[in-house]
Formats: sequence, C-alpha cells, structure tokens
Amino acid sequence: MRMIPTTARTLSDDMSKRVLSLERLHVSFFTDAGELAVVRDVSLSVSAGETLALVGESGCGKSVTALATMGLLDHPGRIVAGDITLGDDVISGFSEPQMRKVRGARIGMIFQEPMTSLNPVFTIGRQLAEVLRLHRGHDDRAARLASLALLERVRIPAALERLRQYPHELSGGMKQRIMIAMAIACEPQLLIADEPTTALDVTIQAQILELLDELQKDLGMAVILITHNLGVVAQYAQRVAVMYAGEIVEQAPVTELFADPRHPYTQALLQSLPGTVDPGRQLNVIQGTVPTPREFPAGCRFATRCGEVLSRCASDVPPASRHGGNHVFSCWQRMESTS
Amino acid sequence: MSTAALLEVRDLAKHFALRRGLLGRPSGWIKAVDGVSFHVREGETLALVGESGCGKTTTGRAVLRLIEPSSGSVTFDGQELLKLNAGDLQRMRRDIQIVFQDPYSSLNPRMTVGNIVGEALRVHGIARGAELNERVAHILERVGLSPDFRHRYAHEFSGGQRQRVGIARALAMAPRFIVCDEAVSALDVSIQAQVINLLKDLQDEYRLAYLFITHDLNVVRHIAQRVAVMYLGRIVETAGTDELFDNPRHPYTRALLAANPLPDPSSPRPRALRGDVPSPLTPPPGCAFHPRCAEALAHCDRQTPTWIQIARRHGVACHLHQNTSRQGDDEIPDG
Repeated sequence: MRMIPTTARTLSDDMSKRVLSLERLHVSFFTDAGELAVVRDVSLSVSAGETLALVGESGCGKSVTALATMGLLDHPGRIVAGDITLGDDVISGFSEPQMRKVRGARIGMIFQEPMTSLNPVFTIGRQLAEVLRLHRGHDDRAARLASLALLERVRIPAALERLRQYPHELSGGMKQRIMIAMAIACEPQLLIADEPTTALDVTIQAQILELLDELQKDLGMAVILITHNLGVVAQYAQRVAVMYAGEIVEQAPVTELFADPRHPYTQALLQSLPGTVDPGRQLNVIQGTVPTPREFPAGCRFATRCGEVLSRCASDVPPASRHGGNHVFSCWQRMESTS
Repeated sequence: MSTAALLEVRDLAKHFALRRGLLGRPSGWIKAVDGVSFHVREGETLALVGESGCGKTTTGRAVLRLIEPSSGSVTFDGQELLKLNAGDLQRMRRDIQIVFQDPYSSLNPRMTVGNIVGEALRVHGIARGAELNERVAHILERVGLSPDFRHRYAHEFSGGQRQRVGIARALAMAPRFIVCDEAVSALDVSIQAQVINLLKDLQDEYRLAYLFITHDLNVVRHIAQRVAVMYLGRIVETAGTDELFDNPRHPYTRALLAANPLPDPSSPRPRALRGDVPSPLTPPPGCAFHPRCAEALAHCDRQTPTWIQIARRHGVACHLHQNTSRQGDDEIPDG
C-alpha cells in the first residue's frame, strides 16, 4: 500500500488509447449563500472502446461532472480547478464557440429524458438533418440520405416513415434510439450517456444498452455511462467510478469492484441491494441521508454515515490509495488497516 | 395465517372512452384493465409487476375506487366495495390505503406534515386536539421521523423522508390493506433499503396486506410472497415468488426476467425482448403478446389464451401450456 497522487495518468491502462481524462477537477456553485464545492478533486480517464460507469445516488455530482466535461455548466456553476483533456486538447480552457464545435462532433451525448431532449414541433427528419448540416456541412439531399443510414444503424424499422413523424408519435425506446442516432451522427470519440435507460422499461432498457454496446464496438468510442443502477453497471461497464457527495470514493475494474469493494460506502451500497439477503429478511441499510453540499464535512464526505469512522475522518481529506494494479479508493480506515 | 382472502378481485375491468370533439361519442375504447382477478390474504404481499402501460396502476386505483371500475367485483373482508354508497365507502377506506410513487407530487405543499398525517383522523372524527397531536407524533416516530417534523412542510425533506410521510399518512387510520404503487421506485438504493425494511416491519407488526405495484423485479423477489405479471391489461401469470423466478412459464415473464440486469458481473448479460409494447388502443388480436413472442404458435394471433392452473399456486394464460392443466382442479384462477 502506498499513497499516490490522484492523477488520471496513473489510472489508465493504455495511455495511447486514452480519449478523455479529468485531472483533479473541482466544480463549485457560487450562490448567494457562498461557494458550494459540489465536485471535489475528481480524476478519471476513459479509453477508446472502453465503458466507464460513473455510479452514485442522486446529488452525488455525477451529472455535474458530465456537464462540466461538455462545457455545459450553467451559472452559478463553474470549474474552479483541474483540467479536462480530450485527445490532445485541454478543452477545459476552450471558449464557448470552440466547445460548440467539440460537442456533437467529438463528444456525443444522450440524456435520461428523450422526450424533453427532442423538439416537439419539428419532425424527426428535420432534427436529424439539422445535426448533419451543422456538424458535417451536408446539404438537404445528403442530410436526408445520411439520416436514413443513421436510423438503420440504430435499428429503427421503416426509417423513411419515421423521418416524417413527430417525437410524440414515437415510443420512449424509439425516441432514445433517435437521440442515439443524433449523438453518433459525427462518429464522436466519446459518448456520454447520462441515465440513458432510467425512464425506460426493463425490456426496452436491454434493447438500448445492447445497441449502445454494438455501436461502441463498431465506432471504437469511449463511453461514460452515468447511472444509479448497479445492475446496469455490472453488466455493461468495464470500469467503475463510484461517486459520493461530489467525490470519487473508489475506482476499479467492474469485476473487482463487485467482488472486493474497498471503500465503506461502496461496500454498504452493494450490501443494501435487495438480493444480498434472504427474501423477507431485513436489508442492510446506510443510516441517515446524503448530506447537502452545505453540510459536506470538511474531511471525508462519507464520515457522517460511515460505520468505521476514525477521529481524523471528519477533518482530514483521505488521499487516494492503490489496491492492486488498477483499483483506487480514498479511505483513512482502509488505508491504515491494510498498510 | 388465515387462508381466507382479505381482498378478492374478480374480472375487474376499466375501459376508458376515447372521445372526439366536445360532445362526441366514444370513438374507441382503451381497455386499460381487461378482466383481472387476484386475491391478497391478511399479512401477505402480492406484487403486481409489468411494464408501463400494462394497467398495474389503474388496477391498484380501481381496487380503491379512486378510479371507478367499468365492471367486475372487489370484495374486502367479505363486503362488495363496488356496490357501497359514498358513506359506506368512506368508512371502508379506513381499512384500505395507498402509498404513491412520487413523494414530491403526492404531498400537499401547503399543509404541514402534521396536517397531512392527521387529516384523515380529523375528517373521520377519530381524534382531535391533544389526542390528535399525540397520535400523529406517535405515527411519525413509528416510521422513523422526529415528532417535531409535524410543524414543517414536505418540501423541507428529502425523497426518503417524504416517502416516510406518505407511509405515515397511510398508516394513520390503522388500515389492514395498503396499495403500494411504485412506493420505493423513485428512491436511491440506500434509501430504498430503509423504506423496504420499514414496510416489512409495519407488515409484521400490524399484519398488513400489501398490493405491491412495481416494475422492479429485484425488489419483488425480496418483498413479495406471490407475484402477478401483467401485460396489456391482463394478468398473464401468477405464482409464488420463488416459483415465478425459478420456473417462469409465460414467455413474457421469461423475457422480463431475462432482461433484468443483475448486480453481478459474472451473471449472464440481459437478453433483450424484441419490439415495443403495443398501444392499448389497438391491442393485437389473440394473445396480446404474440407479436413479440419467440415461441408463438400458429393460433396465438387468433385465439385468446384461457387461464390454465398448472400447479396449485401457479397459473398462466398461454397457449403453450394448454395441455399441462391439472385435471379436475377447481382452484381460483390466481394461485
């Protein structure tokens, strides 16, 4: 056991294939009541062809991390420290016009609610064509042909007919396929999928995740899959970063994270799943609730709910420790008990 | 455990009329619930599972007459609920409560927690003044909230705390039966575990019966003794929970289980079911599942499958099992 600096550089398997890295990212919201440090010291990286799951409960900062990556943080949110690197470009320093060229072209995005991400007053064809005109400079005819090819690529039957339809005429699963078609229109290096199946039924969820998996293999995209569903994580990610209260508390390959979780939060989260105890028995719970950003402890942010808390936990931020080759976690108790 | 059903639902149907224009006649019918039968015993949890639009929520509300059913019968403790007049129904509602999915929209933002929880006690003239306060404080404590919370408003609380308020409201009347409509679905995993434990404790303590409506199969396996699977307004399979998970017979139940991602990287990848749920406006003829069914037979698109009791507590509506019926079995068709 040794302490290491939390740079993404030390976590990546293969630097040459690395598509995105966040290094020591800090995001704050500047409110009337003062600065709220909603994302603290987040480092992660994802390579071509790899799926990294960003998992955590509501309010843990996973969506804010994604928005920061896409340059979509709204006032009062701002990156206060850290670098975001896409390929060879440090995009955290990009201007908004520069970022507009990155989004859509080099980073594709899909969100939880395909209903709200599509414009209800335009046909599917028109919305797809707009993406293609904007990013690929297609004229009407080329855009139409490319749209048809895209719909076939996301396995939408009767593509020609779909182009003439409006979003409300399509099912939730179909709309999410349209969103995926738009996101991959420019064959991006990175796809950020923020709770892409949370609003969908389980049979449709399986279809959508299967499709994403297939497209990733075809296009060699890096994928960041943001979800709160540990079943989805277990089945579709290669690596996992667990977030709690704005921090990554643990990062590991998926089989290792589920078999040998090191951080007390990860352990408690996995143990609280129905199915870990016999039916009808009491489920294990994590006492209390996630603190609001205003209530975040100065040290380890899990300290207020942790069953193994030490005296220093509330005041000192635990450094990242390495457990084996590719497994990193931040916990005073575990670091000391294994050193 | 008593064997008589506390709640018995028979051939329940709710058809919504589609109207064109202001005074138009029905231009069609949506059969949201189309002949559903089941029962729930005292102290028991029956899970009603299925995907959105299958009619599980409408079923739960029709049982409580929050939506007036089109036909069928709902008996509670031997009394036919669908024939009760408003006054008798009001009295009966003490025994039958509901907890909703969304703890954000189901609690009145203008009422204090104390008023939300105590309202029914006041309306029914069961308690008032100091006694009401005391009972509300006691109920809040029972669901794991501080009695001091009764002076605060719902928006001041987190999702998990709000859901506890919703449960406290349902508990206030000391009911015997609660419809839990996706009661834990909107909650984070760690909070969900707390609320599931609470529901279980309350069930043991008060011998509550639950109709547990959910799409989350992992929760079903943990909390329910029996499961009924719905597809397009009908129950397609019922069985004891272990039996249903270990030995699912309807192709839809199998597909549902196969699509569920398990939180274990070594378990097999989910298998996707092809196609979308059809519109209930134009349900497929015959077995409504046949367009998506990998095992459909030649007559599945013409004949509606009848209910087949394949074991004492295991029933299915599927042509594949037409010849596996138990001879001379006269069981009620809900396991």
